[in-house]
Order: sequence, then C-alpha cells, then structure tokens
Amino acid sequence: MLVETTVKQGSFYNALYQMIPDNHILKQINSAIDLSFVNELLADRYCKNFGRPAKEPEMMLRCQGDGSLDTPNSPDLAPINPLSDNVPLHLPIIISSAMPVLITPANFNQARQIWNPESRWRVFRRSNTARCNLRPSAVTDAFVNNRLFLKLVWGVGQKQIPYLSESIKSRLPDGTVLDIPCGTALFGIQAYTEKPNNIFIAFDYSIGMLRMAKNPKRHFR
Amino acid sequence: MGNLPFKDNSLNGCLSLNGFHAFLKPEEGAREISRTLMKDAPMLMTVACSGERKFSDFIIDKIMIPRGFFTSSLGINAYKQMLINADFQGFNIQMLGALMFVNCRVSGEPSP
Repeated sequence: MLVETTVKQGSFYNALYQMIPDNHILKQINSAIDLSFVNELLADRYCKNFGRPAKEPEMMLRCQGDGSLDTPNSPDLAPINPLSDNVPLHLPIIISSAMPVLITPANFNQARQIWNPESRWRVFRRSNTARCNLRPSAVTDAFVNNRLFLKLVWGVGQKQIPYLSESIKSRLPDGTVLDIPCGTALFGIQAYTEKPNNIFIAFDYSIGMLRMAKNPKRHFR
Repeated sequence: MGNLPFKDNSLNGCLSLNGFHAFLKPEEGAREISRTLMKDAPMLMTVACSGERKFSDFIIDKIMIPRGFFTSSLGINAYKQMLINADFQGFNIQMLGALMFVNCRVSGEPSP
C-alpha cells in the first residue's frame, strides 16, 4: 500500500532537517528537482487499500542519488570529516544510570533542551572509520587497563589509581556532564555509576569505541 | 568554533579522561568546552604530559604519535596555559607519574 509520507512540524526528522545548512548540496537538489512524478508512474504497482505502508518510490530514488554523491571524492564530504575538525565528534550518546544509550526520537526531547540548533549536525559516515583504524578499541582497552602498562609507561603506581578515581568521583557535579573524549568509557564508567541520576553526554572520534562504551557487560565482567 | 552541538552555559561539568592528547586542536577544544559549561562548572581532566619521564616521552614520540593514538604532546605548563586561555581558573594540578590530573572551573568572565 502506497501512503504519502508527511514530515510533521516539530518531529525528530524535521528537527534534524532544520540542522542541515541551506547551502548543502542535497538540500539544493531537493529544492530544485521535483521527483514526485515517480510515485505517479509506479502507483499501479502498489495495492490501493491493503498491505503494510510502503516507502515511497520517490524516496528510494533519492536514496540512490545520495549514495552516488556520498563518495570519498565528493567535496560535500569535506566539512563532516572529523580528521579536519578540532573536536572529536561521532554519534553523541547520552548515558544515564550507567547505561549508554544512543540519541533516539524517544529521548531526543531530553537532549533538545540543551541542544544548539544552529550548530551543524554531524552524521557518522563510513569514511570516518579511518580514525577507528588508528585507534583500535580492543587494543586500547587491553593495554590501557593493564596495571603493568600504567606503571611502566606512565609511571602511575597501583595505589594511585584508586586515589585518582576517588578524586574524580568526589568532584563530579550533579546534572548534565560532558565526557569528551570518552573512548571505551573505561575511565568514565566509574563516574557514571557514581552518579546514576546524571546525564553523561559522551563523544569520541571512534565509533568502535562508542560501541564498546555502550556495552555495559564489558565493564562488569 | 561552534562544533559542540550545545548552547552556551548549558552543561554542569566536563570530564576529559586521558583524551586531550588525541584532539587535533586542543586549544580550540578547550575553548569550546568552556563555552558550553556553566559558570563555576568543574572541568576534570587527566592527560599524559611530555617532559616528565624519559620513558614516557620515548613511548609518546615513537609509538603513540606515529600510530595515531596521540596527535600532540604538550607539557604541564602548556596544558595549563591552554586552559587559562580558554577561560578556566582555580587550578588544582596533581601529577601521577606522567599523567596530569587537573581540576579547574570556568570563570565565566572573558579572559584578557
């Protein structure tokens, strides 16, 4: 069944769309080209009254176009390449009750209260995995968590580690706390558990590390 | 720089645990964190410093930076000056080997 898709004002997707700059190439294409004729051409291929609501063929055509534009050589990718930016950004995760959660339409309103709509919304793309390769999360976790490694490489003694974590926990404020960069949340997890009512917003270059940070089993094994 | 998608003075605090050395432009990162934090909000930071231990410096220069784990290697004073320029004050700095633990607050007044 073919149903016309309407984006409601104030919805999650509308809020995302507003964050895209007006001079973005896909927005310019969207305003210049009307592809709605595709729906009319293919309308007789869909059942009129029954069946699950299908995605519009126009949208599928647009997705194909996006895919062809989303190439490493596309100049439009340059502004969202994290290697050229000054703060590591990937998908932001909101962590509450020691349980990392990706921002979804369900908790978006919670994040929106502190969100700056004028800033650019960055979306994770495959090209960003270059950074993940430079900082393999499993290797980092294995070495950084190793007490021998801490003692040999950084000179941090075994008694100093609990002192450091206590110092951080005792000074941690209530409310919304930024953790940047969070890595695999190896260090931050103690802070997250200390303040379960806080909202921790964590950023990192590496999507692999964020995925590990989202996995609570890893921290309590 | 306007990269963090948060309003000015909207966050209660910031943690940065062993990651500032991975920032491509740490000065701008510190300024951006300062912008988003409320006045007197604490900033808790641990970072590996150069110039403290010879072996640590060797690891940073020969492994961490070439492998991409670190992008920069600054000393204690450079990090402190960077935070002062980013409008932080009330520094409490402790050294644990080559790791520096910094506890400071946002002054809320523009630096001269």
